[in-house]
Amino acid sequence: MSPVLARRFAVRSVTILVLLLVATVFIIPLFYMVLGSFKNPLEASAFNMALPKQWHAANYSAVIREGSLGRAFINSCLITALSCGLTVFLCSIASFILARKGSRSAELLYYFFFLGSLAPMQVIPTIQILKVVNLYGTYASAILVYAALNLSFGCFLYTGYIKGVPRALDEAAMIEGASLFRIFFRILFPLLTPVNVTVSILIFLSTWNDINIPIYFLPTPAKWTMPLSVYGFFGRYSSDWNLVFADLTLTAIPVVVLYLAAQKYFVSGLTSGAVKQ
Amino acid sequence: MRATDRQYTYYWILPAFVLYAVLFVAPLVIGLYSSLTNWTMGSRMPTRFIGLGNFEFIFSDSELLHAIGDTFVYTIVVVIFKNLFGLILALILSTRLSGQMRVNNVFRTIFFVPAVISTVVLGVVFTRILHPLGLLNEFLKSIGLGFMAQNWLVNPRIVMLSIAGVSVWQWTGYHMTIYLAGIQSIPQDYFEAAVIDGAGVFQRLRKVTIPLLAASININLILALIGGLRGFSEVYVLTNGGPGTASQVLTTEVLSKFAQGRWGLGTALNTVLLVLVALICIPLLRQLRKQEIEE
Amino acid sequence: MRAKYSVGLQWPIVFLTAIILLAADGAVFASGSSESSAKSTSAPVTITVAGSQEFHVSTNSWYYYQPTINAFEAQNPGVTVQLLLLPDPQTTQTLQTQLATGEPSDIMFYNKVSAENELDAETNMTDLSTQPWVGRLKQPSLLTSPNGKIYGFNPVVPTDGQGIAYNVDIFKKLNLSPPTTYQQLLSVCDTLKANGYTPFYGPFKDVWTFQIWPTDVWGVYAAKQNPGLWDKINKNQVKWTDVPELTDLLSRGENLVQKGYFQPSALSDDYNGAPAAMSSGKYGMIIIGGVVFISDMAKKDPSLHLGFFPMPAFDDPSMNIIAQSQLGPLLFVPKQGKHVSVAEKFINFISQQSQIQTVTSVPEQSFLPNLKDVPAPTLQPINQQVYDNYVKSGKVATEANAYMKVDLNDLWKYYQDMIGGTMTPTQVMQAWNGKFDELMKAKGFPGF
Repeated sequence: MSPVLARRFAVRSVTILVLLLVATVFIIPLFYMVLGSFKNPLEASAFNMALPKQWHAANYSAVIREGSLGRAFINSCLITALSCGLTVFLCSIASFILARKGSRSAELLYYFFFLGSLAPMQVIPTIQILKVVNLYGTYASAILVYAALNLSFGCFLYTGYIKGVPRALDEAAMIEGASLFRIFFRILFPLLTPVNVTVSILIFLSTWNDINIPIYFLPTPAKWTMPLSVYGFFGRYSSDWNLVFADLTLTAIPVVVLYLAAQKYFVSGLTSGAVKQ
Repeated sequence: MRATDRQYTYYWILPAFVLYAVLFVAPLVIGLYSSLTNWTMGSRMPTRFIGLGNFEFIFSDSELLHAIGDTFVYTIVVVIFKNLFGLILALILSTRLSGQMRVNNVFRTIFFVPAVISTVVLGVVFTRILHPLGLLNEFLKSIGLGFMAQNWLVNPRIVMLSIAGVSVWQWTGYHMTIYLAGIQSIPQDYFEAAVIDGAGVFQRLRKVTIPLLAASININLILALIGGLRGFSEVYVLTNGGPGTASQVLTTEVLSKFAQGRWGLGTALNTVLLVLVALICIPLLRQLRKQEIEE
Repeated sequence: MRAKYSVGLQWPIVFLTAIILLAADGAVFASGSSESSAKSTSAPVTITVAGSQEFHVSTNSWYYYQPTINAFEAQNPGVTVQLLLLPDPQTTQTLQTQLATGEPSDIMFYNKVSAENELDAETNMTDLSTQPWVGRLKQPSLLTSPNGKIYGFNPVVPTDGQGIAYNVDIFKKLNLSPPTTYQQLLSVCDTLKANGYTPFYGPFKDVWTFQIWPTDVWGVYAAKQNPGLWDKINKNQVKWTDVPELTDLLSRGENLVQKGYFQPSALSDDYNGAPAAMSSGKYGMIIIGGVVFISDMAKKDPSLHLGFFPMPAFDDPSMNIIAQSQLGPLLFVPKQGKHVSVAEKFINFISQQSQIQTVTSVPEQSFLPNLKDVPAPTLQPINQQVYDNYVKSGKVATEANAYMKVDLNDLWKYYQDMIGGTMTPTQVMQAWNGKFDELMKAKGFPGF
């Protein structure tokens, strides 16, 4: 083997080894959960890394049945996907202006939006406002509230990234007489793919796992989302931890799968050669 | 203002603005009013305006002041380590050091997964791992570092650090993801130009990567700050502010006041938190934005 | 050329349409349960029964028994009953928010005293004193609020109590019998320790576990030796520090910790770990807030045999009675609910003799019915024991917590400091004195 190849092999091996070690730290706590989901109730309540004496895959079917996970899953998908999409849309177009416009007002608006990441949600007034517009208790109320909550964070991320895209691109298109729509949707938005994907995933994550909005704004079990289903399996004095773990594993899987699938959108290279200095 | 600025119309901000103002800002303002009252659930007296009474209470109560201090300690630790580890991992996983992209993708996902885990699991699992007889101490003993074994979640001097550690574990992958997006957005030409100029790996890092990652660093710093100052779930499920009040932070104190029915006081405490977070983050944001490179 | 940028507008339109559709709600994404409108009466009605997950131990709950629900729905076509289980930590605030915004669930299930304190039952809940089932109650006093009215339904005469669960096999092996005085308790602990067992499992990471000792023994003390104490304390006529017996009883509990009768990692161990701990056979006893722990363990680990005895905190064996927790859950009907009459009808239905009997006819219940016409079910062995030994002969007292009008978490946190050694029992009582004043004042109680 040539010295160059040998060296590359060594670098790769070391890197993978280091990564594996680090990964172990990340994975061990997860093992507790996944192993526990296959145990019987007593074993699961020991919360250790011991392997189950018997692998009770039936825990999963029990959980899906008793927790109405099918319906909860659909609710989660619906609410999360729509609020995510709404937020991405509203944030990207707003941030486009916030990032490009150099005026004082735009600057102030930026900080105005930023405030939302700092402040907590006030539940009672929000409910009262929703009642006024007759939306309380509907799926739409949850979607709109999630969007309102995530707008701040979303605009913050988008503005940062759009600033990194050369303004020269916009200007070149403007010279050619392109409308704002065209500049944004046809030119800029595709360039933001890594950011779009990132923002989508992060908003998806926080919305998927949230239990507060459904509790306060969707007081109907039929509309509840997956993370809430777990509360049917444990009480203060008596819990079925094996079922709890099975439920939580199922709840975690969609986001993990999504993240893995989204990896291919993290393409490298951007505008290489498009604009010459 | 540049000549082309006119073309960027404010109307595009309108939908976001309206939704945000109606469903977030308006409730916030309305809610803030209650911090000036003595609103208590189940009180025999009617609610009345008490001006800054709640705030006077907050700044003279030793337990609450201690919680504010703990919040700061916790925040500093998480901000530093989440960003450090997140950046390092992102850098490694955006190169071809490990050989294949697929390998990178798998590792990226593994590091991100903790962020997906429900706090119920976090609480139950980590209280076991950090137990005096738990996995962490057993591991330290097995590699001869037994003297480092601690009562991680009970010793008042280190409990906040332990909780910070768990938070770093959970969110490093999250910050790594943001850094990854930033790295991927850097045009290849810059790297190619640097290589042509004869720059080594670390020089490329210092002169090309990091400066161009200004936006991501900015974002991650602010997010980690907000996450730390407003951190709640990890503290709640690991110690609930205990033992006693050794690990209380502002957010758990807010919950405690709400649980006592003192909604006016709780909202006032939330307001204090909001002001603190704003005082720290807004100037920082302004400072960092100045350093962002814009084309 | 022009057509190209209309592509960008497609999905925003899709989203907006979706939102508008969903705003109409129900129509497009109807819930899973039946909403048959076959009846002549009004549109389909769904009543929601909301409360904490902690009560939902099994599907045998008398307040949400599926066969009863089905029967009710069959008898009232168009009506659906659904259960809203809230995560325990969020339950209080959620129900309070519902009441504050005027959008309460139709029925709330909550502990009696807590509902009076935290949900302001007397103001927010419908007065049920004139409901048909009230006349059938054996002991209406169990459900009566301080103002004399009845706001919640609960058909249970509790056969439960607080005390100590012990490993029968270990005791037998060491020739030990359940202690009835404090001195006997100390001696039992010494014997256990000398033989390599840890006398008690202490899940003190959870704040609500150690406090079972004080709330129990203070309740017993007050009931037997200082009646009217709680009333005086609540009116600020007596302070916590004015009653040395309270501090003394607390110290007795702390003494157990000091003598090392609990495992050293007590502040790191939580209640979740209790089943595994007792199963391991390393521990002799555990302080419990309800015998449901014993019946639950019987299912989880049949090889473990647990017995029960009251907290032996006193020198006089005649003080060895059990304390009982406040009654719960009760079914309340918020006044501002949208379907108050249907909710009342539902409660009436489940209170019927035939319906309660479908629950009680399932063997091994944990309660006796508080209704005159419902025959007693067969009780779980431990509940039968509690009933025979204590309830029947009136050897019961009410726990101190049931008399409190404020949240007690701060006191319970002081206990943790005490266990950890940074506070003495006296300091705890002094600190609590101050806190108690603060909390009572915030709620506007006269005298503070």
